[in-house]
Amino acid sequence: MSAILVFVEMAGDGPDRLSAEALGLAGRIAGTSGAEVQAVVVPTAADRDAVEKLAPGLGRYGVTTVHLAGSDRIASYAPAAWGAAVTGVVTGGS
Amino acid sequence: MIALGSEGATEILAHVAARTGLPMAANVVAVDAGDRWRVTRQRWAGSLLEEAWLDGEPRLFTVAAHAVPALEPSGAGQAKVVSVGPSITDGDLRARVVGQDLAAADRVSLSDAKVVVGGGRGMGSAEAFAMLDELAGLLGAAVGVSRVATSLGWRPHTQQIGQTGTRIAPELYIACGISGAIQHIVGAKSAKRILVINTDPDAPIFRRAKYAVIGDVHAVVPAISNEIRRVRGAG
Repeated sequence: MSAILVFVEMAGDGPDRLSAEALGLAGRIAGTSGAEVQAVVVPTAADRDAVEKLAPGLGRYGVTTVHLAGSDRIASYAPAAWGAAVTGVVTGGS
Repeated sequence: MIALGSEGATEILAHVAARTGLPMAANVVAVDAGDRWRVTRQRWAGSLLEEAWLDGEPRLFTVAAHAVPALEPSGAGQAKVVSVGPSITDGDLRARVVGQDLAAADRVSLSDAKVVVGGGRGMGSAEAFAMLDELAGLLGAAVGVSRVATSLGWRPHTQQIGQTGTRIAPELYIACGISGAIQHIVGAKSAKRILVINTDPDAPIFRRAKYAVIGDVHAVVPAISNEIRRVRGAG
C-alpha cells in the first residue's frame, strides 16, 4: 500500500493546528487513493522522550505509522538538519 | 510528502526538495490525485489560485495555513512508532536557533491563537500597545499588528498580520485602531469574528466587522480590561 507522509509538529498532547490541517488534507487524499497516512516528527533531543510517548496518539488523526527522526545532535531548530532528518525518512535512507 | 503551512516547515520541505532533486509546491489548498496530480495553490497571499501539475515521486507540497479544515481527533486508534536515526553533519548545524527571547505576548502563537488583539496606527505610540498586551494577557490572546505599526518601529515584524506577515484564523480578532488596508485584511480574512474599535466610522475594516465600536481605543480597551477583571473578581 502506498503512503502519504505528513511532516507533523507537536504542541501540547497532539499535533499543532497547522499540522492538523495538513493531516486533514492528507486524509482526504488517502480516502480517494487508498493510501495510508504516515507521519514524520523531528523532536529535539530534549523533547524526544515526551514526543515518543505522545506519538501513538496520532492514530486518532488517522496516522498508521509515526517516524521519529530525532537525533542527539538536534538540540534546536536547524533547517538543514531537520531537512536531512525528513529526507532520510522520505528516501528510506535514514 | 505533505508539510504543514508554517514558515519553518516550508523551509524544511525546501531542503528535502533540494536534497532529493524533487519538485515542490507551496501553499496548496486542494489536490486532484489522479494519474497526474493537479494541485491548486495560493499565490499572492491567497488573492490568486493557481492550478499546476505536480510530478515527481514522491510529490512534495505544503498546505496553505488556515485554508483547509483542521482534522479533529476521533476514536482510540494508536499509531505504530518507528525511531529512525538521521545522519546529521556539522554542516547541517551551521544555521540553528541558539536562543529565543519571547515577550509575554509572544508566548501565544499568532498563527494558532484563538483570540488575537491587533493594533495599528490608531494606537498612536509604542507605549500605547501596553494596553493591548494587558488585554491579550487577560484573554490568553496573541498580539498582532498592522504593517504601519512595524514600519514605525512600535512593534516587531514577528507580530505583523497580513500579506507580508502572519495569517491568522482566530475565533475572535479584536482590531484596534486599524484602518483595514487590503494587505492587512488578506492576513485576517480567516478570522471567524472581527471586533473593530476605531474612531473613524468610514474605516474599511468596518466592512469586515461582526461587532463594531466607534470610539477611541485608548478609552475602550482599558474599559474592556477593567470589565473583565471586575467580572472575574465577582466570580
